[in-house]
Amino acid sequence: MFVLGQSEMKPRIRKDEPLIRWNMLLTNDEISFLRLQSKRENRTASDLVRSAIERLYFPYNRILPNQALNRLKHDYLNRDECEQKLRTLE
Amino acid sequence: MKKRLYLDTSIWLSLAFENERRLLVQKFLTQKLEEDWICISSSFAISELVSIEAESPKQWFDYLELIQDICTEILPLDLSVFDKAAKELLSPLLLNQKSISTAIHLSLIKIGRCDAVASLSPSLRRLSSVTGFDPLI
Repeated sequence: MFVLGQSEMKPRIRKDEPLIRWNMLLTNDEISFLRLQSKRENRTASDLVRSAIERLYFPYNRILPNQALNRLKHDYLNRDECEQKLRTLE
Repeated sequence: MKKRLYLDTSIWLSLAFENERRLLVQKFLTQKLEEDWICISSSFAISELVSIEAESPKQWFDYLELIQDICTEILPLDLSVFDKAAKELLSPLLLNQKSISTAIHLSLIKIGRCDAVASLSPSLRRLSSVTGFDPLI
């Protein structure tokens, strides 16, 4: 978990740094596959690449929350007060 | 890119004690994680739990830790959020339709660039400009 910084999602590139786009690194076969896959999943090719990187390098983004959900046991807060507050929301 | 799901106070209230509702919310969140969503919440959502008595200081500490592990990001609360929420409240189309608490959550959903909100509150789901999920359905 980290606290939000508004700029975290934006790639940081120095002014003099040459821009290398991900599709410049791929072979024609890989580009064809991505085009097909993006049609199948109805998402942009860029989104597919980002998801693949996230799954490969940041698996804890999913593992840690899943483990935490499975760790939920017994009562943490007073249930009557929780129920009461929930009723005001529902 | 992972989609961002905002969890409001009602989600944390539902997970805070053993019952049928907790199981449904757990199942819903697990499903969303499988579908490549990440969970986002806010200091404001957590602060709304403070008025509720904890079973013990240790339980409160454990629960806080669980919330932090479930969420990939916790949106901070500062004065600019209240300012944005006040403008939401004054919006002529939605005047008298929302509480201050709902307006703050709506502002945080926008500030946190969330793609959807999960809440047990029908008004928050209805008034939000993003998709609203009811975890109990």
